[in-house]
Amino acid sequence: MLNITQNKIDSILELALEGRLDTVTAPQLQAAIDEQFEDVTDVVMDLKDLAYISSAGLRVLLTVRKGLTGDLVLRNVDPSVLEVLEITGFVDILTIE
Amino acid sequence: MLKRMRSRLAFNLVAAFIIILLLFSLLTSAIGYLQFSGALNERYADNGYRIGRLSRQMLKSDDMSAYLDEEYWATEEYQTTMRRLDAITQFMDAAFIYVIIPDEDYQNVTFLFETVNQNMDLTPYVPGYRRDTSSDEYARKYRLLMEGRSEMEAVFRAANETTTGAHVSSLIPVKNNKGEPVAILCVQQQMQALQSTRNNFLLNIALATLLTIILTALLFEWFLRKRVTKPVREIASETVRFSRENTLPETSLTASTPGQDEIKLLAMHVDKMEYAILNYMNNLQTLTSERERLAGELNVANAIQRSILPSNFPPFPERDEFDLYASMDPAKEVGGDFYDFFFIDDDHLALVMADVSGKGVPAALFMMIAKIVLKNRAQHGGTPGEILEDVNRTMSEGNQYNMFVTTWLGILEVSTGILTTASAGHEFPALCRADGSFELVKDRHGFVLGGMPGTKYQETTITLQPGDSLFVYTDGVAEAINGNEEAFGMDRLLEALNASPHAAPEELLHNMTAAISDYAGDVAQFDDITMLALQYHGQRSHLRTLRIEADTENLGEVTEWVEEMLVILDVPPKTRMQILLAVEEIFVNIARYAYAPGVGDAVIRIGYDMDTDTVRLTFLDAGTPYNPLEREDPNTKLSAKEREVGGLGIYLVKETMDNVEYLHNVTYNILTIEKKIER
Repeated sequence: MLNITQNKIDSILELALEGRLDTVTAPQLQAAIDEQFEDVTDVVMDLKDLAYISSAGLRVLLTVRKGLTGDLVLRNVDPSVLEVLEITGFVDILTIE
Repeated sequence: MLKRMRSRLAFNLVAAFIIILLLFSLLTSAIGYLQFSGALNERYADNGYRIGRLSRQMLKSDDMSAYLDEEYWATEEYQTTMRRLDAITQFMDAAFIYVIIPDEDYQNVTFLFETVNQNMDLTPYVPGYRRDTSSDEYARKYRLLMEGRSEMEAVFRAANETTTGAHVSSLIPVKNNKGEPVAILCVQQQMQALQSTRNNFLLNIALATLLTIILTALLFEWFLRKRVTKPVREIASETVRFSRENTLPETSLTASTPGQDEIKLLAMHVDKMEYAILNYMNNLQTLTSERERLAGELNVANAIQRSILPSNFPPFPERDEFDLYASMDPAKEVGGDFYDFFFIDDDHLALVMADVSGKGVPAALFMMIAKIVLKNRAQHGGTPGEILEDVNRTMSEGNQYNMFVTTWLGILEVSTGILTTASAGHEFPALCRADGSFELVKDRHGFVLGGMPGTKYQETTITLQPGDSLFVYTDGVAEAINGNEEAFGMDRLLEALNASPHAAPEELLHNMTAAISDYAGDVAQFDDITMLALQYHGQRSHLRTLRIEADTENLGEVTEWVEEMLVILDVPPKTRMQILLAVEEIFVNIARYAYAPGVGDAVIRIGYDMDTDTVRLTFLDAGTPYNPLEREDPNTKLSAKEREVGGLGIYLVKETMDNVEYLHNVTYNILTIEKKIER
């Protein structure tokens, strides 16, 4: 289960994720971003209501990050999701606020 | 090569023929020469005797000394005698006629007179002339005549032995009126004629021989070529052609070989042999293709027979109350032994070990029936004794060939370890208690299945404790033979089991197989070797098992199932999420890669160890053997551009779990993760 709310301002895409980002839901996020990706330089994700992330979700984050000229910013990261980002070194390649 | 051999054969035969002919002509010449000489010599000697006897009539034999008296020479009587003797000499073609008196020692002789043939152109010895005896032969023969022991002797002289040419001297004694020899009269005849005739004879023989040799050698060579070497060469080249082409010739050797001799016989037999070989080859071809067809069918039969025996181990990956392993090695392509195991219901496991009488295809057919009937009947419930009784009734019906099958049937109540068995004339099972060694269980036997309808089977009950092992087998194990035809035997069987009695079933059977093949060496076994081993673990720590199709669409179901257990175990949310993360990563891995491109099941067991407060999850799949733990960890220090997209899942599992282990067991990839609950 994953709900995605999105809002595009100029070249910045803002997303709010709610639920689980796993093997089943990751393609959903990938598709949502692909749809809006033209002219986007930066992506900001609000993870306040994201309780779970697996490697499938990490893969989407990495793919998005590689395609950006600007930054991928994650906000309000849940501790258990943060732990996964720390273990995999994603905290060093993304901006956590 | 053939040509050289041919010429050598002809050369050898002709050379041998010439040598034989030469020897033969030499022998005939020698015999002819001797006979010819002997006959002529005799004639000459006889002629000499006759001349001598005629001459002797004229002699004054009573007083031979008168012939040395010069006064007597003047008498008319002497003159007349000499004239007549001279005439005899001339007309009878004698060379000399002379009379001698030998000395008493026969070394010298005194001539009384001598007449000489005009042709000889010699002067006669004067009376009283003395000379030595020309040879020992003369001396010996003079003595024979003078002593009255012989009335006539002849001496032959060849041309090279004398100055007067080849001649014969015929000697006769001259006797006085008392009959005493007083002198010897000799008639010498020349024998040139004899020698020249003999030389002619030899020359003719030599010429005739040479002519014969040349003619017969030519004739023989021609005959050999036409009747021997040419046909033999044709036979040789035909055999070469036949061995290359394997077809009958256009013209048979019998037709092309002349004559009615042994060569013809050889030709006829070579023809017959070629015909027989072609027949044989055809038969062989038919036989071979027939045999190949049979072998092919037997291979299929073997594959079918193998496929009906459960052979995926471990057979029940979701059950860990026991380990089970079984094997069958048929002595021929197809065998009469079988084992079987199956769940009758969730808690009752049936174990079967059986051995059909006989071997090969008949036994294999009977085995198929027995296996199917037994499983079918067992799944309808009942005790082992009841099951065997019913199966025996079915198998006895219409069993015209009186085949039978010895069967051991055990039903294990997995939750309690109670094993109920019944035996239809089968070998005693071997049981090993957790703290002991393998011993035979002398269970009660009923009659073999298919033997007699109405047979009852008594039951034996064994309660298995955790760690106990059971070993059942067919007689092929104990009856395996070595090079001396000595059986492996029950003692060795138990010894082999007890070398490592608490080993896992698979290892136990491998040990037994190794012990048998060590014992038997290269000797082919005449009976099927079939074994089954079960080790009982009792109730294990695992709480639940899930078998589910490995598809990412089932991920939700899997995580819900795990989460439910984790909630029951009161696992705090953080640990719960870590475990669920690991479950997702592993399950998705199996779903994506294990069976690609097909699909298969994944089995997940969840367990909990109260002592260490640890959750244990075990994942099994029967896909391609693959150890995910061998995958290299991603480098987490790289920049976003350099990072690879893959490899994060297993890395997360390794990092968040306390223990991760991979094992490949015959069929299954088995991945176990453990997580101590942080409260």
